[in-house]
Amino acid sequence: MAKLPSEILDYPIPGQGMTAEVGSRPWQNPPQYTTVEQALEFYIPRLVSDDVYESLLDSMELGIPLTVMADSMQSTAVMQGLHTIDVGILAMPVIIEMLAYIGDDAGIEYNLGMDKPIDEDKISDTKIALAIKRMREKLPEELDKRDDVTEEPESMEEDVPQPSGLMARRV
Amino acid sequence: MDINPAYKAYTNLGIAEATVETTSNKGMGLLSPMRNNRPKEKSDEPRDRVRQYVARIRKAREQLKDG
Repeated sequence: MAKLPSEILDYPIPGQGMTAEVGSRPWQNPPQYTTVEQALEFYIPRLVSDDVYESLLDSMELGIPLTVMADSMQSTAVMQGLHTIDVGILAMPVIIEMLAYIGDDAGIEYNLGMDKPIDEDKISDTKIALAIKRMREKLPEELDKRDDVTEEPESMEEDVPQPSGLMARRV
Repeated sequence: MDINPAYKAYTNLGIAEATVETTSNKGMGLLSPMRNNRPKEKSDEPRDRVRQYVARIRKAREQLKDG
């Protein structure tokens, strides 16, 4: 599929990620928290702080899985150079459990993210909507024509009760 | 689902197996070795510590659910 020139220009140049000097990125420096305990001492007070607590509950109500939330939290902290990926992976189960505790405490029905994988045969509504959008971009005229054609509803014969007597007239 | 590292980290902790109590047939005689007196070897690996933390929070969560 041909892409718009502006979209192509937005891509990073190959090797761009390696152009910065070694040590200039936060994750290339020694981490701030070196043990799981130190990392948890950073996370847990933040989870129950006023500014984060409300947004956490909102995310839970929206149905965002707790595993996804914990993963994004630790990825962000790794990018900020707070701890290593190893410490993040180790801390994640505790973060998930703590999020579940917060959800239970608030009486919210949350998605832990442990459900069975989605049936691959079933196409999600998002994919269908995306396909329609792409089709509309590709063939706008044809789809518009189809939209204009209004199908006439088939005339439905009304079920009128037929008189069943011997002398009744037949219609 | 399988590519989420949080899912894998959470499910591979093995808390359910750790909480199952193992009952061993101990000799009740006077001359039988007293295994209970032996100090238990505690692992101080980060994974084990994390397992303990998760188990503790889970217990608190269950208590919260039960009221």
